[in-house]
Amino acid sequence: MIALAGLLFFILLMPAYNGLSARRTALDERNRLIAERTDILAKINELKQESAKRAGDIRQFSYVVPAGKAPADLVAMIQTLASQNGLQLTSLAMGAGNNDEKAPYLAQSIDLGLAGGYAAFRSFIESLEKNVRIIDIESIDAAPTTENSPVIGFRIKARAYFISSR
Amino acid sequence: MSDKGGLQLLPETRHKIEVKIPGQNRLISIGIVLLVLVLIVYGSLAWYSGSTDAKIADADNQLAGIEQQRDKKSEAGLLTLSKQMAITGQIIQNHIFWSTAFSKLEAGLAGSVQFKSFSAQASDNTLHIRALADTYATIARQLAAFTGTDGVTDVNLDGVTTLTSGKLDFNTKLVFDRTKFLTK
Repeated sequence: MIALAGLLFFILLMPAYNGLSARRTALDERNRLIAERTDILAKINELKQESAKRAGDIRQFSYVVPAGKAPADLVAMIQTLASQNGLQLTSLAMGAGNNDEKAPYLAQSIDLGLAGGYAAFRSFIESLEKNVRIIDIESIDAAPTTENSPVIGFRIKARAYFISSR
Repeated sequence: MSDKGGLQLLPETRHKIEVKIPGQNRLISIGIVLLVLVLIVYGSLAWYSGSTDAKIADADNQLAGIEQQRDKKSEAGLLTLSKQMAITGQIIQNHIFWSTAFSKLEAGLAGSVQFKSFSAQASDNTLHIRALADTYATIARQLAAFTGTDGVTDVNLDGVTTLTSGKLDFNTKLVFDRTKFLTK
């Protein structure tokens, strides 16, 4: 009888106890996850409410470094700034830029040609620098379009920034 | 024992009286108790396991419910905003202002010097200027003005050519400190 009891202890009790321990661990893990996720969900809901209150500011802020290249916005913005400042936009090209995949943000290269006077160019540069979407000018080349012409041709290489939308 | 007149006083044969002393079946008793105990504990464990399984299933349902409550579109929007906030400060800090540089150069421009062309490179901190001047003294004054401009670290005169008009066509290269020359 004692031997049978011992045998049953090892055959029934031990596996049952081990199974129960595993179940307890699994349950504890799930309870921890529930607590964590409930907390996170509550915080997200708070943030959602806060962001809904400041939707206008957030929309403006998102133009500074948009999610995605937003090339259409860039083209419209450059064209508007050029015409507002009395310059003629003679060429415009946009490339991928040198992007490091690990960088927290990406850059969109912009190559634009403009024609006009120096005062208009200075005004354009100031407008570009004050624009909501941040654009850094990397190089500027300026020379008269023809010898002794009052019209100056400008070539600007710049970078606009964005974050990956993926 | 003798028989006296057919009366037997004591029996001839004796019967052994079996007396059961408690403790003789102890091992069996212990075995049975242990067996019952094992079965009771096993039953309890099985019941507790079943109860825990039910709790796990309930927890899984709660997790699935929480997952359904998530608004993934809003979460992605908040994540993007968080990234934008983190990097905007960094980009603004490194933002360059060529208008500041031009203002500094204009402030030191000699009256009779006329710019013909220029080429500015932020990546190698250089500004090449081709300009016209009346005299070498004017060029010297202009170079001195460039040297004294805030943020300009070096000024080189690359060449001077006399034009048929009598004017002097000169090329100069300015080397600047980006952090001073291109920032507000």
